[in-house]
Amino acid sequence: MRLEKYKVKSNSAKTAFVFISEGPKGSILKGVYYSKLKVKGYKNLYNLAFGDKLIDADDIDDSIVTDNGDREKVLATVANTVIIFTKRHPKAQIYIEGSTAARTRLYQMAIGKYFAELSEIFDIKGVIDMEWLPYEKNINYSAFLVSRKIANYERKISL
Amino acid sequence: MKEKSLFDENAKVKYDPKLDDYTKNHPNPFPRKMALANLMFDRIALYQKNSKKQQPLLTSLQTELLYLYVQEPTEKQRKQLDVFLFYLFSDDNYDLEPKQKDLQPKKKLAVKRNQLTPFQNKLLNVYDREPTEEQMLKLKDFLFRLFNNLLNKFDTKPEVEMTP
Repeated sequence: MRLEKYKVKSNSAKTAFVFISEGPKGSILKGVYYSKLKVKGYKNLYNLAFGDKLIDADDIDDSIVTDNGDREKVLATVANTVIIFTKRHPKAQIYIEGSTAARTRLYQMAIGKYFAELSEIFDIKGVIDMEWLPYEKNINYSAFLVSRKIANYERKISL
Repeated sequence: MKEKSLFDENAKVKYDPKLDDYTKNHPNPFPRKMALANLMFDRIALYQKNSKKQQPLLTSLQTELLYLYVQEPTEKQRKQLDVFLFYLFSDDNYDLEPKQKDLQPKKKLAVKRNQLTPFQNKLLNVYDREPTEEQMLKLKDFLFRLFNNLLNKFDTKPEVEMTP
């Protein structure tokens, strides 16, 4: 059985995604955006940004907590964009840090919850005291670096 | 019972040409977050460099000032911080201008100061001047109260006292 997810739309490069969160607070347009970071020593580093009003609005905010009662479904949708993005960009490393400490903790909880499944497909590292270390459950990290295990790529993913 | 699967291997993704237009016109729609991400990697590189030399990493205050540097407080918060810095450093005639000798070891930050706002320049000047331990503690406490949580959004209008 699969977790419920929202249907997403994307650009041709599979770097920008939008979906509509449905809940008690109405229909809220959400966006996931992978932007290339120019950092010495990293050739394929992307930042994952997730927020409201990605398109058709000038005011983009990645710190809003809409609390539309669909957190699991939203996180599963964002996670699936990682699959879609890394299928198109298999050598990409994705940098994930919440726009707030609370959101970073939320990402941490989501990674911990689905770590068994995630780790079959991705290498996941977390940063502690400015060092990248292999992800372990129940440890607090300030950011994450996710990249696809290339060897498992074709076997695991057939979108 | 099998756990629910996170990934949908057969997910259909609909192409939206509007998103192509959007990404073309907005190559960096999250500038603050991008700046924070770049800052994190700068800090990691600096840490690795210093670790080899067995030099200490940035102090926690310096780290917080650098976070402030990439975020933009409200006008009210800027004024409050201006007043606080004036009083905090007035005893030693602290004019917030960096000393040239203090700037030397930190050239690795490579900040283009002429591209910064006056507020950002002021924060970097504090960073360059290396306040005393007591000043750092007071400033750190003030910053936490001013911004409640430095990583949270800044327009939360916290109530703070004006004196250090």
